[in-house]
Amino acid sequence: MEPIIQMKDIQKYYGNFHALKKVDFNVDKGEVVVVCGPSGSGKSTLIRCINRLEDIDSGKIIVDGFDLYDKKTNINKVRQEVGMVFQHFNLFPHLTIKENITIAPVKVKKISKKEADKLAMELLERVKIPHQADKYPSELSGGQKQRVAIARTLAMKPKIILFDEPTSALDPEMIGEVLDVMKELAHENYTIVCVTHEMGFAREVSDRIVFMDHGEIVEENTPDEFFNNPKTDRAKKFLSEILHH
Amino acid sequence: MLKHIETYFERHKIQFWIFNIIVIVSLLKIFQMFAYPETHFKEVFTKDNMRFLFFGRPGEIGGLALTFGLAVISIFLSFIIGSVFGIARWSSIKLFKIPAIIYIELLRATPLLMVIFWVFFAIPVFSMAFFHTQAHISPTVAAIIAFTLFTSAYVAEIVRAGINSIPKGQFEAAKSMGFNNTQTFILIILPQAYRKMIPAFVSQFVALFKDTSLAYTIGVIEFFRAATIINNRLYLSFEIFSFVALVYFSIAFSMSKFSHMLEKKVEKQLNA
Amino acid sequence: MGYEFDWSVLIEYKSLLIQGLVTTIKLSVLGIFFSFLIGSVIGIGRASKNFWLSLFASYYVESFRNIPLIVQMFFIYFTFTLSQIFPFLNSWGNFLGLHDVDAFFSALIALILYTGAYIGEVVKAGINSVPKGQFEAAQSLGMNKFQVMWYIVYPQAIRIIIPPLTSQFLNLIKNSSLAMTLGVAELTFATQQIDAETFRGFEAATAVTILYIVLTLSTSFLMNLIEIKFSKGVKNA
Repeated sequence: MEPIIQMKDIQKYYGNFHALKKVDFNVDKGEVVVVCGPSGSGKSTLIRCINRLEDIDSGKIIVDGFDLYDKKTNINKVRQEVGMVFQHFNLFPHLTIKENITIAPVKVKKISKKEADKLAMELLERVKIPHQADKYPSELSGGQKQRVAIARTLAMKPKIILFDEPTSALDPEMIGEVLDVMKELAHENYTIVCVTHEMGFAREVSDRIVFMDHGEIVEENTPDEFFNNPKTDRAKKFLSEILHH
Repeated sequence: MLKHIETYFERHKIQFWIFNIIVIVSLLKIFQMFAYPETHFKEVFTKDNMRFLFFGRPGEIGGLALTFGLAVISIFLSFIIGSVFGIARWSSIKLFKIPAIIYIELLRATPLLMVIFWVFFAIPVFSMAFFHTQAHISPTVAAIIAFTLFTSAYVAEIVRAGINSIPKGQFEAAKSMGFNNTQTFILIILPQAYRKMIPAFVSQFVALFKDTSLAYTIGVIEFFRAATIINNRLYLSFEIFSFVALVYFSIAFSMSKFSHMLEKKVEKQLNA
Repeated sequence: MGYEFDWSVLIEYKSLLIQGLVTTIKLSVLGIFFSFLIGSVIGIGRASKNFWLSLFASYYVESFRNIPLIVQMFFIYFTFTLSQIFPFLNSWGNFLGLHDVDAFFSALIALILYTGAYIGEVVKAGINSVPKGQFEAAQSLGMNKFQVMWYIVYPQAIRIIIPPLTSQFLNLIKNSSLAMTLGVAELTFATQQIDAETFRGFEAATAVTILYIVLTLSTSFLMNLIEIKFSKGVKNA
């Protein structure tokens, strides 16, 4: 079986800054991959290339069988299969929680409003905040907002879910409730690529850890191997800094 | 390929502007060929006409020279009057604040054309009421008074906003050094505020420059009226008014680009 | 003896004043509606990430902002006979009860193009103030560029746009006074007419100024109501 995400020879520049240096990155269907590394290592850039929120300067990206840079590829259709959860939630402030979740299925997938409402309520039950359905995002706490963001992503029934530092903007006491939801998803059929600093989560549920530094993938391994037996100096340095906090 | 052109233009500003000029001129030419195929520019661009348009009738100031004159004198006077009202508007003393609010809001709610007419009508009336003589002033002076009054209200708002934008910390620092209120205001706050207001002032001047064309209505022979006089004689309105538009555009556009550059310089200075 | 104010002329000539007011309202309502449409399109073009779209939109904005409105009005009125080029304007003119179709529509078109340029910049600023994350979230859900703008970005931009937009609408109402130079019988024209017949220009100008203030205050008030309606629930997430 071909990997559902294939990235080969990726080069990306921001002006003169070389953000991604000849990166190769593959993810199998159903795999849970955690990408970690110091700030500026290129990890967010890498996953944002997967749904073309960032454009690459050279290389090839194939997602769910589609070449992202082929002129015939409809990027909007591909994005329906790739969900993304953002560090700063990005909920739509002018819509209610329920509308946030239903707007894409109704307008993009063209399902009926009735079906979408039903789906939204099921998802809100799943993330444990069904009573917030008619409130506006500004009335929710950070942890609740992120759970809504996850529900919004799930409503499109994607094959792949990308998480870009989903808990970095949360107060500590709310991190747990979001990680719980993410752990559940990890045990289901979704392909997950997650950029995070939450090493406990990584250890518990990921199939593979990818460590990046300065735009390159420095080390890749199973969680056990990576945490107990880091092979490179940079990885060792990173682990010692992050685990002593 | 298009993206390469983009990055090229970002780096080579002069070529970018040349490109812009060429595109706009071509678009205008295409428009002219459809809208008005037979042009008679030669009849318009005679020496006499040009002299009239730019300098007015021999022996008096008119045309574009008068346009600049009106704008410069008015902006200077309205700067003074507007500052007074602007500071009064900002102050918390009701005796100053309330008259300032009335003055500013009244003028800002009135079209400039109405202000011009109002001044034109009011001067004989007030001179009759207070001095018992029918004063007659030249349209040019009436225009200057009208432009000054009108612009002073907008200057007042710029001044108020400028003073408001100075962080409270500046007031507090000055007080803690022993300055009293007046000293703080004049030595510390106003210099900073006025430097910040420069872009807004320039933009107001550009607007005033364009608005001088309204003096047409009371007979002032500035650039626009000169053009309409030529048009009444020659009836070549496409040629005449497109030339007029081009002149106004070039001057106004250059002034606002200059103001942008100033703004960037001021920002650099103030972000110390 | 000083000047004798004669305010009764206002009552005598009230039909002139009312006709002027109505014409000003016609110019203003049509002007506001169409300049908002044009301004929105231009503004979305200006805010676009496509370099060329933004560039061509800026050609429009800079051209119409830097030429005095009166020059634009004269150019259109004297160069083109609108009712000949666009015969349907005659029937529209009848519907609106206009006396001089050419003058009215020349003034109106210039007003729309001029104000549309300013509104374009206001809309651009509004769209640019919507956080980038909103675009990204909408795109990542599979929405195409139109859906992103129509359902997510523009609704948020509108709330921010309303105060400067109101200011432009008020400018349009005031600028409508320039139509009098083409002979359109709106409010400012009425001032001159009354003065020409009665030499009571001062009283007329005072009355007309009050009417303009009434117009601008009502428009501000209406826009305030609209802002409140749009703010329901729109807070930052």
